[in-house]
Amino acid sequence: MAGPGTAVGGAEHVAYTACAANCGGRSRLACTVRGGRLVKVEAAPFPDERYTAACLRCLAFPQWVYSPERLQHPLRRVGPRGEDRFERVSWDEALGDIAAKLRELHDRHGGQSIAFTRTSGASAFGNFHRLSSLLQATNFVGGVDMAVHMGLNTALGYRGMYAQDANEWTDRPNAKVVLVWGNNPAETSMTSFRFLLDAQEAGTTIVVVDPRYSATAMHADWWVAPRPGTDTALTLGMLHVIAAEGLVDEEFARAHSTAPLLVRADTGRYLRQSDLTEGGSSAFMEWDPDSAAVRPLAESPRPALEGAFEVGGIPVETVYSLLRRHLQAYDPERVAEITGVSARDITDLARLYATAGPATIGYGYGVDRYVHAEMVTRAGAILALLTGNIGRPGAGVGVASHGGGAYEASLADPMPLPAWARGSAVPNIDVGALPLPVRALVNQGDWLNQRVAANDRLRGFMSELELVVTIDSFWQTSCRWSDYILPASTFLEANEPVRDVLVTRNSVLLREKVIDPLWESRPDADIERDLATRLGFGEYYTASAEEMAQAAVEGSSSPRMAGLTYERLRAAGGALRLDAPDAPHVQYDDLRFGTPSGRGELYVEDLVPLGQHFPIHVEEYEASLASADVQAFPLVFTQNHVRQRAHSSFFNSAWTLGIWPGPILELHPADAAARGVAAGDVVEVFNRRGRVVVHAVPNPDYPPGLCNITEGWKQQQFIEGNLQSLTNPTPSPAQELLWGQSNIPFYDTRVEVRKYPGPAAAAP
Amino acid sequence: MTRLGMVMDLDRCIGCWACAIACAMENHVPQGLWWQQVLTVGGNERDTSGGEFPSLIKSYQPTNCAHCAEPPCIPACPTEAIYKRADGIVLIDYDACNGCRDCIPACPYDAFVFNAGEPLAPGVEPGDGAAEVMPRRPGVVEKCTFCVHRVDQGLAPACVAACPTGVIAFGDIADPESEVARKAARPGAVRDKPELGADPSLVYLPYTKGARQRRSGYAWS
Repeated sequence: MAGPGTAVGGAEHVAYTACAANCGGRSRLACTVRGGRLVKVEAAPFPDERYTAACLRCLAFPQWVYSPERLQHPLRRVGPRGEDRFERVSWDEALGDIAAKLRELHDRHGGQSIAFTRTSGASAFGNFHRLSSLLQATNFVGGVDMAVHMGLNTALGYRGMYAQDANEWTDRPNAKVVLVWGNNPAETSMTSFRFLLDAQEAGTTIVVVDPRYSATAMHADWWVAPRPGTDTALTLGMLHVIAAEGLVDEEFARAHSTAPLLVRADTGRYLRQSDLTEGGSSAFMEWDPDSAAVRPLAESPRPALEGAFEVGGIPVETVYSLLRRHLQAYDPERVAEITGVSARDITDLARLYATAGPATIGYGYGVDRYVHAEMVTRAGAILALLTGNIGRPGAGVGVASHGGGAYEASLADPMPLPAWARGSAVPNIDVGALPLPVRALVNQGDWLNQRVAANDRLRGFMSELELVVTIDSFWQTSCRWSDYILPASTFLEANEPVRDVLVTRNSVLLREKVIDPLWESRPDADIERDLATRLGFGEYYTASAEEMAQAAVEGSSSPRMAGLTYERLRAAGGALRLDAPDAPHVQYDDLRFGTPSGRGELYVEDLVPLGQHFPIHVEEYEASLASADVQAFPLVFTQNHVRQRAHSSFFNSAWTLGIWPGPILELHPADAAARGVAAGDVVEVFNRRGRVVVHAVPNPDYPPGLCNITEGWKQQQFIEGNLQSLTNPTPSPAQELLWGQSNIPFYDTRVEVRKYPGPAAAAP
Repeated sequence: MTRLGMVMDLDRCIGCWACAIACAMENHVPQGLWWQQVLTVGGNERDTSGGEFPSLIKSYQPTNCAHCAEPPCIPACPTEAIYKRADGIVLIDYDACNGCRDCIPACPYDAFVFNAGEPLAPGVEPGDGAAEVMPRRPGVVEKCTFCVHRVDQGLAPACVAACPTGVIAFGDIADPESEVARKAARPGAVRDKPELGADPSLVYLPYTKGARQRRSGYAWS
């Protein structure tokens, strides 16, 4: 009988790897390979079994890997740039041409005339960073999802741009209150969301702050929906209540924040010993009430938290006094008008956070993409520092990134480059806005779709380039502007037994080869090595991937990797736990902060010229009701992350396209009705910067005035136009001042929507 | 006597479809057909709520063959192609199926799909997925098997293993000591359309959070 249990047989093996996409989840995967084909993907055992999980994105890898959009051969443009006409060429011809042009530009105009962009998802050993350094080239850096990190780094001390995580996910059940703030792990970090569910079942109160009724919000005990971009005001309102009602943990604030530090009334700078004594140190100063005199930081047994004083003729005041005065303007009634959250709810939320803890705040990138977004997390850090909700189990503040917050260990640089090999950086937000010396662009991934706002303004820049190369696995938006397209293998494909190695979630994982490179594609590392060799840098690319992985593991100076050898890693199947405690990792458990004072910074003296030494609610930004564009472009336009993609990765998995067939504009039913738009209608979404044409779906999960197209669809998936032509490229002055670059405020965007009068494409 | 069944805790479901995709991969289900789906209970379109902002109500409900104790599909099949194993799993003998599709309306739970020769998804070929799962010829009906090939190896069905939030419990719901039976006995546990008498082995713990949720926001304060 031909029943469902009949085996068809076939030799197969299982290869182990870890996801490389920029969700950060890094699921460990067991990939079944039969007859050389990837036929099945499942979660593989993690050294910490609580992390054994895979999401739908990983499960659909076979379709992604074998997708019809795969770039199969090197291509060379024929005809004008942007007309999508290409011819097949050999690798030798493509790389030969590219190397010749790069060498010519390098000789005539210097390395900075060559710009590199790079992407997540490529091999750690093939991200072109080595080649761009050897060429002393320009690197286009940054993009979105940096501002929340900048704010936390400013307040709590720099530990890397993307390392400002909340406590490890497994710590959530230790919290009594979790504020899930602008974060939607139920739709972005599905394998981490269970820790919130587990916490909730154990009694933790889950508060979700999101203007939209997300899949995370539907699981909340309390859903708080402020107006888009008003999160700083909401936080300042909570701080007002906490200060006014005496809910501040004064001992904690005195010992671990800059609350008792003195600030000069005349300059707004911190008072330093050198201000008072010729040859004095740069020590910060506090007021010692017992001696009625100033003392350097930490020398007074109990410095004054509040008060204004005169020291050597200089009027000074404590940071905490200044903060309390600053907060007076953010009473709950005023904040209710800004945010739309009632004064009673603001008060209740403040009390809950301050008194029912330990409390954790986990931010997501929903709050990140507004022009002043760094102030959201600066304000959140002040919440934590004034209530002692940091540095202990269940208490922390940070970004709840997917894989973050666990014990970390650094891998060694397997082949250090000479000191002269060093490129320069240009923030992506400046490309198209500032004159640049760039004449060639080497794109790894889909830069135009994912890393630049208002991308129509780059048409001139792109048109004038002498060479554009795109290296990717799939046909996508940046390919269309390229002279050469080089097909990269996905991270599942390799020529060698090993692809690379990574540290994630308290563990070291090896990425084994799963299948051979498909068609003529080559792993990124092979492409980089070949191109570098043609440019005369072959001596820096002598090691195999396996040798690199071994050197990265065994050269590590991290104590948590002591004694961990490559041989042991291989023998263990490619996954070993770091030498780390069993208890969940707690950020800042030593309460030492990498700030100038070593304290959590409530006050940022460098921002006095901008009036942002404390976080403020800025009245006018594009998404705000005070924007001059409210009449012309009444709808705030966001592009949230979704389940089926990590940014644009996996945009083409057929199973997920069967569920969510293509881009849609979601908007409140009343906003749709006012424009005569019904479900399935084709609409044009437009503003002064650009336009895109999609199908519309009225959705009451969005409040009136907010609409959304999820991020990561490629240009070819839209009816017309480009999603990123709409987005706001305005930099943040504070971010530029403190960090030398600005986040891109993708969500700080207004649009209008109308039924599209043009030819309607087929229904989705 | 063993009665394999599932209990789905909808208070943990996030509507991600990992279960359905794992099912489609494991069983190389043709593109466009699903042995398991995740229904949105709320609005008219996928992932949308019912009600008006902010009084919204939305939940997700995975659904698949309920492997009923009294399967209405069995008497509806003129060729006796559908049968029930001793452990309760309801299966189709593909050789005996004549493609008449009388089972489709007979099933209260929309479990059956007709494979008219649908191509597999791009990137999936016959024989992909689990090696033990037989490719179906066009012109037969198919449905969830509880991953019988995995069950027979002592493994949970693919959907159970794939769910990242632990929605689905699987086991012998006739054994009062089993986790799945204890969950099925919880107050509020329901079976879909009990009045039809099929006695499904798929039990839901309903979504309850929305009704208990506090909500604060600008459109209504």
